[in-house]
Amino acid sequence: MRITLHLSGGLKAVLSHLPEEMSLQLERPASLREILMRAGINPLLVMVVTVDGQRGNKDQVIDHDAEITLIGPMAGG
Amino acid sequence: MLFGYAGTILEVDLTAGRIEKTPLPENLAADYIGGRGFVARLLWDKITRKTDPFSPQNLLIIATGPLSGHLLPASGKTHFGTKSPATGGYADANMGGHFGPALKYAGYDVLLLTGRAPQPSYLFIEDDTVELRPAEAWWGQGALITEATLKKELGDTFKIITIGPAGENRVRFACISHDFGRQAGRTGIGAVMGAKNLKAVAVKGTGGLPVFDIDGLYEKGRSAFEKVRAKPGFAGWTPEGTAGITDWVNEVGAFPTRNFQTSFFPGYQNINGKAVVKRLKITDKGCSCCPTPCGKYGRAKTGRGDVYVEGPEYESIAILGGDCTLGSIEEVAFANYVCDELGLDTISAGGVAAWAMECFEKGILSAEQIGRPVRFGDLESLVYLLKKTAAREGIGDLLAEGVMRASAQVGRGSESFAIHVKGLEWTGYESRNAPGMMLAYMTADVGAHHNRAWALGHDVAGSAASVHDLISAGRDSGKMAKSRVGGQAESVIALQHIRPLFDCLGVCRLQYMELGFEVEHYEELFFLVTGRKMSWDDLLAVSERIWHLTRAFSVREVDGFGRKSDYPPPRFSREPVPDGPNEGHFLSIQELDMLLDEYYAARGWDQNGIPTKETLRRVGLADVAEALARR
Ligand code: SF4
Repeated sequence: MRITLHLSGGLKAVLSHLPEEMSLQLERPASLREILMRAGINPLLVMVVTVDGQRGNKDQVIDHDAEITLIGPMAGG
Repeated sequence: MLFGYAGTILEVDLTAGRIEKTPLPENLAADYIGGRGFVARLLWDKITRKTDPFSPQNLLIIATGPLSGHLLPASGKTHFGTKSPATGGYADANMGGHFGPALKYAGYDVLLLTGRAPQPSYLFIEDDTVELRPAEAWWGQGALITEATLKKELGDTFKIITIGPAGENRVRFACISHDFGRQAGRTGIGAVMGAKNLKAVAVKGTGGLPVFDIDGLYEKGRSAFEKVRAKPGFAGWTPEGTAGITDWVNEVGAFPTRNFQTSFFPGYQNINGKAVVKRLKITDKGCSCCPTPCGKYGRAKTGRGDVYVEGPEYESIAILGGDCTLGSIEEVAFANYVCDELGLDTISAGGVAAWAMECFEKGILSAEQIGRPVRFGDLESLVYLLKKTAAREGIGDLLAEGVMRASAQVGRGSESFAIHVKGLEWTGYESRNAPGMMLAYMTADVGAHHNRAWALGHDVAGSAASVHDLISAGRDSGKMAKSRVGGQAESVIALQHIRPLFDCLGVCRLQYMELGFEVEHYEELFFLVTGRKMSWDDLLAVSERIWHLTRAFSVREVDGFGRKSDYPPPRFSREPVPDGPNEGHFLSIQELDMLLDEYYAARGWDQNGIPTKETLRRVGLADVAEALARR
C-alpha cells in the first residue's frame, strides 16, 4: 500500500525539518498513529486528519492506498 | 488618492449630536495600515491621559482595514478599540460578519464615537446620511432581538451592531453583537458603548472603493478564493470549524476545566466539534467573502426550550463547557445563547461564573450571599449567574466587575484562582505545561487573550516525547513530559506580529493560520488594492510598531503598569495540575521570571517591561518616547 502524507497549515511551521509531502510503503494495514510514528511525526502534533478528502481520526486503520492530509495545531478562533 | 480605503473618518460627538467627516490622513494609512493600527494610534493621540473608560471622553473606535470589503478571501473583518473598562489599558476586539465592508461602502474607513447621547439612541448611517435616532424602545432588550427588530424596520440590507442589557449596565466584559452570532467580544467594548447610551449602529453603503489595479484584483481575488478552497486542510477544518480542536486540546492536556483547576475534561466528547455537527448544526455560516465558513448555525433542544445559536465555537466550548463543566453540547449552546442575547462575552462571563462556583465550592461565598447554591456542571447555576451579572442584580453586581476586581473585594484566597491577566479573563488554553503559551498570555497587550500569539503548538512540539521514545514505550500519548522553559520569547514575539497584522489589513487570519494560505498572496493582494509595494516583512515591521505603541498606551494610562501586570494568577505557579496528561506540571515563579526576562530583552524593554526610548525611536515612535519620558 502506498500512503502519501501532506503536511498542512500550522504543522509545516512546527515540523519545518520535514518535507511538505512524504510517501510511505506499507506491507500491512496500520493505524494512522503507527503510520505517523513511522514517518517521524509525533501523533500529538497532529490535530486533524483527512483520509482521501474525508475527515478521519488517528485511530483509524488504513488498509488501502491513501492520500492523507495532516493538519497541525491551530487556535480555536 | 488613497487606493483601497474609503478615504474618510466619520466622527460623531454623541453629546452634542455633532457629525464631522474628515479625510483619512495619508500618513496614518502609511504608518499604521488600518484596523488595529488605526485604533492604536487614534487612542494614543486622542484620549486625554487618565480618562475614565465610562466617561463621555472615552472613545469607541470602529476601524476597517485596506483589504476590508474588497473582492478577496475573508475580507469581512472589523476592528473595535477603546480604553478598556476591564483592564484600564489598551483594548481592542475583532469581529467577523459584514459590518466593516458596509461602513466602507458608505464611505468611511473609521467611525469614531465620543461623548454620551442624552438618551438611549442608535446611529443610522446610509451613505452620506448620518443621524442619531431614539432607541428607548429597545433599551433593556436583548442584543439578538434588537438586531432582528431593527432589521425588520430598516430592511435586511442594513448591517447592524447592537449591545444587550450587559452593555447598558456597564458590565466590564460586555460585548458588541452583530449578524446573530458574531461579536466584538473581549475587553468590555460593549460596556463603553452602553456608557455612551448607544444601543446600536445600523449602516448601509452603496458606494464603491478605489482600487489600484481593478482587473488584477478581480483575477487575483478569484484565484485566491479557489486556492484557499483547494488547500488540503479545507476538508478537514471547515466542517467542524473551530470546535474541531476540542479533542486535541484535551489530548495534550490544555483544556480549562473547573475554573482551571485542571486541564483535562473527561466529558469532552459530549461537547466537541462532532457533537456540534451531529446534534446542533443546521447550516454553515460565514463572514463577507469567506471561502471557509467556520460558523455553524444550529438549534439546541434543551429542557429549557429550543434556541437558535451560532456556534458554539471552540472558546465558548472551552470556557462554558469545560471550565463550568457542562454535560452536553446542547447545554453549552444554551449558555452561549444566553450570553449572546444578554450581550456578554462568553469567555469572560464563563470565567467569572466558574470563579463564583469555585468560591461556593470552597465556602468563600455562601448560598445566601449568592442567592442560591451554584455548582459546576449545573446549567441552572450558570444561567442564574449570567442573568444576575448582566442585570447587575445581587451577586451580579460584584461579578459584573470581572474576576480581578471581584476577588480583590471578596479576598479569602480567591485572588489565587481569579484566572486573568491585567483584568481580562483567560481564554481556552490551560498553560501550566506550555511556557510559550503562558508567555503569550502574560504579554498580550489586551490581557489574557490567545489571539495575539497562539504558541501551544510549539509548546507541544517541545514537550512531547520524541517519536523514538514513544515507539520504545509502545505508545504515543499519555503523560506529557515537562516542557523546557526558556527560549520561547522569539517565537512568541514573531507570532505577536503576525496574528495582529491581519487585524490591521481587515481580513480573517484563519485561512493563513489554519490552512497555510501563503503570505505571498497577501503581499500581492495588498499591492493590487493599495498600489503600495510592501513585502511581508515590511508589513510585519508596522505590526511591531503597533505592539510597542499599545504597550506604551497602557504604561501611560494604568498606574504602576509594568512587570507586575504581566504575571498570571498564583494558581499557575503554585498548584501542580492534579490529573490528566499534564499531571504534576506547573511553572514556578522563577520560571515565569525567566520567560519575562528573555521576552523584555528581546523586545527592547527595560526590566520592568517598559519600552525604552531607543526601542521606541527605532520603530518610528519618537513622539511616544518623549511623551513617556515626560510622564
Ligand atoms: S474563517 Fe470563520 S471567522 Fe474567518 S472569515 Fe470565514 S467565517 Fe469568518
